[in-house]
Amino acid sequence: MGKIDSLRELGSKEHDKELFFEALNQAIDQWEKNNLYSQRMEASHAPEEIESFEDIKKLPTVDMREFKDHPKDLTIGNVDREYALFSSGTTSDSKSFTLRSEEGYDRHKGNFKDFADFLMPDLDFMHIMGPGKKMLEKMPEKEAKRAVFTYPLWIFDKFDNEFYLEKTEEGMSPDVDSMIENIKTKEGSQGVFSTPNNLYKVAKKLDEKGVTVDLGPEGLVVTAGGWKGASGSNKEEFRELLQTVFGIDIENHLDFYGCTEIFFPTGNHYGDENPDKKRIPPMGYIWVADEEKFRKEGVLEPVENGEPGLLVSVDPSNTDYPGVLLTDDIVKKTGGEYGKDVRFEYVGRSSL
Amino acid sequence: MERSSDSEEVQAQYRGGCGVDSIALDDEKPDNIPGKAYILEDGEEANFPENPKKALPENDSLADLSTDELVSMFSDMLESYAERLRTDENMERLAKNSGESKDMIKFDIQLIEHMSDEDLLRSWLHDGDTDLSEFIEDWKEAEGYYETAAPLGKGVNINAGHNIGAVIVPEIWRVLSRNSVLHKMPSNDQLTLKILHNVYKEYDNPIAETCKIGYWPGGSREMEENLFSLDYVMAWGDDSTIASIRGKLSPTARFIPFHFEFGSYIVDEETQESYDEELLENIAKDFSWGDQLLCFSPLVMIIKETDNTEKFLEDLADKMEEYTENYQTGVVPEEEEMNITRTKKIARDSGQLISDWSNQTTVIEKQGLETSDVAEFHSFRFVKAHRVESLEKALETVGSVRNLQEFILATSDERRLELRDKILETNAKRIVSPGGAPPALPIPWDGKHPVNELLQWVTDERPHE
Repeated sequence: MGKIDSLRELGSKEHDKELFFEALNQAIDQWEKNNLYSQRMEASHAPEEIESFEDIKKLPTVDMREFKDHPKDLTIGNVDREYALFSSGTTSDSKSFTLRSEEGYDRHKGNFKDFADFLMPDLDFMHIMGPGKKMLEKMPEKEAKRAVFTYPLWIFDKFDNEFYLEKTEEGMSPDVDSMIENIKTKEGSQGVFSTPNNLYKVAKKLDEKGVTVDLGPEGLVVTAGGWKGASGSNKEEFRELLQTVFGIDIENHLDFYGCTEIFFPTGNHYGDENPDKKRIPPMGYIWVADEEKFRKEGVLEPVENGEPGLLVSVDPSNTDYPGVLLTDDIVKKTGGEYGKDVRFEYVGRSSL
Repeated sequence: MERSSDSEEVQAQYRGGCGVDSIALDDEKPDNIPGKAYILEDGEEANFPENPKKALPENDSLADLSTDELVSMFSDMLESYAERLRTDENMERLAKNSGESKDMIKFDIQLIEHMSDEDLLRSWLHDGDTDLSEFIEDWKEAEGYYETAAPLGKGVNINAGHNIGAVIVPEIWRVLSRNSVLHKMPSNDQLTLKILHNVYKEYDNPIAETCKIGYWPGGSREMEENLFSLDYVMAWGDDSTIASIRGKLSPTARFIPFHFEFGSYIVDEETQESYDEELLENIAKDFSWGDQLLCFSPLVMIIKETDNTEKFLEDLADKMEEYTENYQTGVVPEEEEMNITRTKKIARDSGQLISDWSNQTTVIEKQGLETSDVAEFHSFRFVKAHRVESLEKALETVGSVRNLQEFILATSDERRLELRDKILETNAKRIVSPGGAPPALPIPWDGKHPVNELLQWVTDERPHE
């Protein structure tokens, strides 16, 4: 996969527009091996060669919900259930999953590790409110796969770490006491990871008890996933709670946005002013489609920069299924220069 | 099980305890009544009393009426209600409020007029061969004992509020069973029942006296626990609403839930070879009534795969669209509009969209039928036709869903008889012909005889000659 691998070898620090187009054209050749997508390409007005970002917006899309309806019809080549990735269910239906080839799985994992390395500072210890390998090994395979998203296992293994999730009669529950005790005994910069809804509940309880901890000079809170289940919470209150309980500034809150269907993550860099404004790694591209135009006419047209609309992700590193995905997330994209100041912000959901 | 010396323990094991816990429970008054809650009094929004249950009048005056008196009185009131709904001003307000088109509202009003027929009203009191009114009005001799049917007393009816016609059905049932009621208006329609209240306040009779109409925000736990300890609770809503109400119900209140239901079409080979305009129109009507938001609305079609299937579905798509000229579509909520657009786009991109993209109605086809296909549906004039090899196998899949109300058989007579016994093994409660999805006669609803559900059967088992 020459150009695709070259794109990935760029790392996350610099973007290369020409290389991105070359990799995308190579990926499209793969995607057209899928009958469904090949038919869509024929029926579309997409050019044979992608040479600009405007060309990209003419590519036919795959709707996210198609993965729930007929995931197998979307695959290309030798995908294997062994490498399936299950949705965490923090934002939608936890039953959804996407199949992968071994190569695709490794690429997906590599993209995440690479981008997370770029976004995060060096930490001396990472506290993860998620199920660790030991716990997952004890669970039935099916349940384990659906227990939580796999990304924490990928991106935090470079740090010394500990997992704090227990299976109780009421379901999954973080062992907060142990985590707090461990934070107190560790030295240097420490990080805490959880889904926003879990962390909100934990931080609220700790705040009520008057418990505060010190995560050290480059202390970091990392979140990923949605807000489902965190009733009554709002972002501002959540951020304030993090500052109070974990003693971190807003620049030390790193928040990832992604989903199992897309091979590249997005997120803010440690030190960025606003965790809601996400960066896009060089191996991916997003554009924003007019939500009302689509809802009324079924036509995907770009909105003006800064206007809210449906997120379409373009994912050349994914060759296990067509990688132009129409999500149901409403986002705003800002900034103009590819790879430099482009950011996007999640606004809400259009349906489901 | 061993007998214990402690009678309470024994009772607990056998019968759930010898204490009548619900007496204390049912006496509890809410500490908090939401500010938005109100009850209609003489056309005005008034506060609920400190104990909301006390807002309900006794049902004695209603219980004393004969069926003839009751039916005659009620028929007149229903006609007045239909007339009031039909005024230009109310038509405008109802269309704006409910999102239904004026065609849909006119049909609902016709339905109310139809239901005001005295004979039809009386027939709700028939449970099979049994005339319930005979048991309501007197003791009847059975084999070795006497039996009578008494009204339950006072209750609350939680309306769903997506259709003007559907609101009147529970009112008919409670009147015929001689119960007092508090109708809760849904948050999205606080008009339809207000109009009924304004009609009733012009009547000085037991039907009007025993009907209260109010509103409170759904989920107001303390208030609902208070009201849900009345003699009965009738509720309409999706499965989560029903489950939530069940969780707040007094153990002694009778619960009469009507949860989400749907119908399924079955089209056989012969029908696809010899159909006419009338059949297509009947199918189009069934898929159009109330924009498919009614409990009998078909939401799925099973069609035997034949050489004629494509043509049949194309003709149906044309007829669905044509029917909107006589029966205009209502407002489609944005979220559902997005869901439909996405589904249409996927179908178009996969060559499964039968109707034109610009149509107001949608017909899509899909090869085969899986369990996941009956877990989520679209409404608003949406036909999803599953082309299958075996109708029987597909029937089993759809029939395994507990929310299934009816199968609508567009089949030959011979095939209908073959399928009828197969349908008995499913969760379907009705078998009807094309055009017959909306119940034309008083029939069991959700597998229940509703008036009977609102009665308490009492036996006199003393020796008698």
